[in-house]
Amino acid sequence: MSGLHLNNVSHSFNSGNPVLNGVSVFVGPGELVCLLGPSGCGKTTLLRVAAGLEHLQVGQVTIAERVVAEGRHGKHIPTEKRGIGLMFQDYALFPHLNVLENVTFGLPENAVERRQWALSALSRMGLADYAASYPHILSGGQQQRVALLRALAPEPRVLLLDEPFSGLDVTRRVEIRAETLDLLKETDVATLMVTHDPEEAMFMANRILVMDEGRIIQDGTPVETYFEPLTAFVAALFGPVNRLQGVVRNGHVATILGDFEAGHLEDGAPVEILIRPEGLRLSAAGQEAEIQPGDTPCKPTPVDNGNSAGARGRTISARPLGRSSHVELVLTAEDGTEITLEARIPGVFLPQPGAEVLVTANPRQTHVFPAS
Amino acid sequence: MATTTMDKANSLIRAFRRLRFDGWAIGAVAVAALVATPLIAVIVIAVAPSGDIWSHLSSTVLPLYIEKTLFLLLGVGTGTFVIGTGTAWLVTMCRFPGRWFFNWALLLPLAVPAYVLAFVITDQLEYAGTLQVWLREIFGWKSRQDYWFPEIRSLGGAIAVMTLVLYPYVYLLSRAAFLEQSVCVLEVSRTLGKGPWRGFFSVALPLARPAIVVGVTLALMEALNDFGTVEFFAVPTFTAGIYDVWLNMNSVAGAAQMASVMMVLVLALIGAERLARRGQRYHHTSSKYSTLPSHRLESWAAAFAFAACLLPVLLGFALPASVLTVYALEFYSDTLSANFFTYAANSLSLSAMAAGLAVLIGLFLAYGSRLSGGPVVKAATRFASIGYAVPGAILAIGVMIPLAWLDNALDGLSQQVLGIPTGLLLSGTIVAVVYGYVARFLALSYGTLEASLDKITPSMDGAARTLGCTPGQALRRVHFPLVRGSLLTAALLVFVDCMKELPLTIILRPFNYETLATFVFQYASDELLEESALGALTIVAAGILPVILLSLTIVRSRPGHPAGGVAADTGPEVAVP
Repeated sequence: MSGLHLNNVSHSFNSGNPVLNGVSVFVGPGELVCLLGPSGCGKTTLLRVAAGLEHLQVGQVTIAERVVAEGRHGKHIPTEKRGIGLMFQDYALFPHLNVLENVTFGLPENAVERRQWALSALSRMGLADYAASYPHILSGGQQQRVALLRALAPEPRVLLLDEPFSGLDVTRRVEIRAETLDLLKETDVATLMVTHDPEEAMFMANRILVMDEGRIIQDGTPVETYFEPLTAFVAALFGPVNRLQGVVRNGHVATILGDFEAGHLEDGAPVEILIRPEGLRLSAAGQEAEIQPGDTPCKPTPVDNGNSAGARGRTISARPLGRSSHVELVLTAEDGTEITLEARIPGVFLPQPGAEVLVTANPRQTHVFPAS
Repeated sequence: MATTTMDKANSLIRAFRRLRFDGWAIGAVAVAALVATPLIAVIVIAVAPSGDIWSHLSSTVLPLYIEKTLFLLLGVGTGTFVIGTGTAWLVTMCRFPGRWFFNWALLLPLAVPAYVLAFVITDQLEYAGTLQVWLREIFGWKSRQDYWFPEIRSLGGAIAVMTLVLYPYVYLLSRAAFLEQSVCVLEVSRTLGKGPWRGFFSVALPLARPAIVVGVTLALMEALNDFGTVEFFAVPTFTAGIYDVWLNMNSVAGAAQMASVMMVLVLALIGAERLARRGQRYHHTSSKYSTLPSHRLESWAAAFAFAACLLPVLLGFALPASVLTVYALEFYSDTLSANFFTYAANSLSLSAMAAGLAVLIGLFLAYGSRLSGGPVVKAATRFASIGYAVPGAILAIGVMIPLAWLDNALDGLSQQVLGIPTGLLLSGTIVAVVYGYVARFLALSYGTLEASLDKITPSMDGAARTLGCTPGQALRRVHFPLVRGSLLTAALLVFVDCMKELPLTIILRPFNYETLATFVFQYASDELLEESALGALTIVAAGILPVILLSLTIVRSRPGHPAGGVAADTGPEVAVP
């Protein structure tokens, strides 16, 4: 099995609590896998273990069909002999070497062809004029490119990226992500990338591994991870969610927004219903919801096919976010309790505070989990 | 049963593999052990029972040594504290004429070894000296009985001399501490109704306390280390006593026992310093820095401040430098004919060798402990760099003992196997001197290089390793070029301290082998200061190099801003990690 294979890796630091707990990861050649999780979930440690910068304690690491570390027998092939590239969050460019020297740092003296590659890659990235410059005069984006080229220059079998875009501002980030993806597509390197940004993971990855407290909770494509989260934690990773409570009856759970399928959950089990803000649809009930003057009117369709039955709610506030609008509303249940919901509506939709709206939920964006 | 044996074998194999991987760590521990051997030797010898020297010592001279040493420390401690913090406060917080000159000039006495100042001051102030001759002429006194004049060659004289050359340690550290103090804290104290004086005593001084303690401790360690001054002034301190017991009573064990008693004092000092340094972390209460409020001093106060700053510079540097210059110009031919160039060459080569070795070992240790990060390596390197706190006389004994043992062992082996006695191969050679220098001054190079390596982020190491470098290649291609400047600084610091070193050199040097320091000491002790002035001046000139380095960082740091680099880069603070 070529590519990178981490098998049943566990790791703990001096303090005792395990940072990694039986983690298995496989990244095939040409594949890009994202480790997604909150800070402190162990994803960077996993990267360091794969690189050999951290001694493996339990488990096995295989790179290109060669076992490079084994916990039980203490086998440890040092980092420099593993044939990996690692790009650090802070880029770690060598300040005493110029750009070209940085990129060719990992190449043997006689690697004429790769040196040629380095030069052409630099000019393709628009860095040809900087080949003789020192890293400190480069912008963040330029430094990121140099670091990526430096990691790729020795043609590693495995590329490890530690939060590679976190040092960039938002607009630059989008641009460089696409560029990085293009560059990686030309190689068949197995890439394992660490990030805490779900959007970045969705954009970059063939597969996303969601990590929490040293374990892998879900392994799936971006679409699977987003639309079929296995736990409430995974669902909540992609942003704030609306939470409703309910109880399973005949395979369904009834809520104020209608009935949802409860899957294989047992009858009578208390459950939590998570609805993404973008899974709520709002439509004006009556004439109160007014489009702000001067805005492009964008009326959502009253009721989508397949949406839940819906309920009437009252607007608390509505704010424009540019590409979408954020609406906060309150629903009153039959027993008189009030439920506050957040909705995210594409385009401009700004009902007046107090205006009545019809609320429905998209079942694709509604997830039922056992109550914790 | 079988499984447990298997497990045991496996864990053994694992431990072995770890060891191989940690070759750097093992090397670091081995080198650290080698450097620490003299310290261990002193302790071992002192603990081992050896005859009746002990009872003899304790019944005769020991109480005297203890008393004089404690008074010396008390005097130097008080003196350096008052002068050091006082001048530091004046130049950081007040505006008066000459303030910017004193800012760096107050460091100059650091360039003058205590024994050199002792010789010059004695020369000027004794009965036949310039001042008393002058006084007698003015007042018409005929002889010693006609007037009272303080005895220079006394405990009080030693305290004065050492205070004058050691206060810069306190000045440097408390100055940095005052600059680092948040202006807010000081201004708050003003708004709460405290005047500048009460603000100093109730806010600034307590906040700077950790730094001041470190500075005073450094000064006290230097005072303990001093041999030339106390020997010349005939003050029976521990260092003088060790030399006496070892040379005149010819008792290594006795000297080692004295040394071990003295170690208790040293350890107490190190303990105090560590405690103070630990406190340092909690003393930054606010991070807002702006131009410090400096109040302009009125005429009489300005004059007082000027005088208070001028006096230490005058007595600690200008006086010895000018007297030596005058003598050197007049008597340089005497010095040259007394083999000056040989002695200078000896000094230079010994110091250069020691500096080179100390930097190499320091880099090896600092990089080794960076690589492994394990507690064993960290502790070993810490212990190896404790030599700086140990007085040269103790360390010299500690070098003698293992080298003599090794020589005897080699000699015995050679006689047994080859039938030829080898005699003394190592002790009494310059190997012993260089060994002593490195053991004593390793902390300077190690501390400087460790601070410099700390500024390189760990991801640099990771990047180099993933790009195919072994740890050694990473050191050569990444770390070495990045710390090159600090390597020079470290080498310079060690070099200059070796040039000045006296007690270690006197005890460990080969027979009839003179360096500039021993030559100056020998001549000046025999009332031949003029004839050795060129040598003393050379030592002072070398000592000015690191002072220039420090001054530059002080001048570069703008007024009112923390002189961040001073302590971290080149300050004597790095001396005791």
